[in-house]
Amino acid sequence: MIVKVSNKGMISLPAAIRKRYKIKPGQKLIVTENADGSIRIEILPTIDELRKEGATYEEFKKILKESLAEDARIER
Amino acid sequence: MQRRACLDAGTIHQHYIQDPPPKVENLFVDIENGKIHAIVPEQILVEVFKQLCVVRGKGYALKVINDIYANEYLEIRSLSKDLVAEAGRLKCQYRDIVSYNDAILIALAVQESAMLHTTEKNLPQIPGLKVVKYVFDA
Repeated sequence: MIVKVSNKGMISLPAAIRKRYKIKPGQKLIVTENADGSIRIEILPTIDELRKEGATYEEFKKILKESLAEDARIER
Repeated sequence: MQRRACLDAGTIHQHYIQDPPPKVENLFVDIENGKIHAIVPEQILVEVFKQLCVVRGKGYALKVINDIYANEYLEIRSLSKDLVAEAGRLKCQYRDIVSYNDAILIALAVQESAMLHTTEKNLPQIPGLKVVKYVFDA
């Protein structure tokens, strides 16, 4: 799909793409520049999606304990 | 009146874990509803990224950092000259007790008359500093 850039630097996402990915007006997207010169547009995950991938409470406690010990060793 | 809060890396990280404790859930509900204005020094996000990177890798850490910047529920604060001086003074005075990031957080919390939400167990008694601790049994 080809889109055109407006005078203000804006592009419109094709309706088919908006529909397929359920992109709503006002929704924020992430635009990143890749090392190969390509540009990537991603949908920002919801908090539930981020949590599903996140640490468990037990893992969190472990990493926090390790981080504090590490900081104490390096910094103080 | 809107209350103010400064959050440390551990408190922010807990918002993104699979099973966040109710105390943290409630804090973030109040932040999202505008009852609490939450401020975080930008340096603290480095620590958040590092913690997430250790447990779930760089890609996941980046997703969370993107979420924090994009959703704007936290005010991300750059350091001012006054804050640098006060955090530096605190680190100098309590060098064996507080980390650099904690010194920055304490200085900001006192400056903003904000409640400091922290996972750090050992903080010195500092005039004007109000703290909510998230303490673990581990």
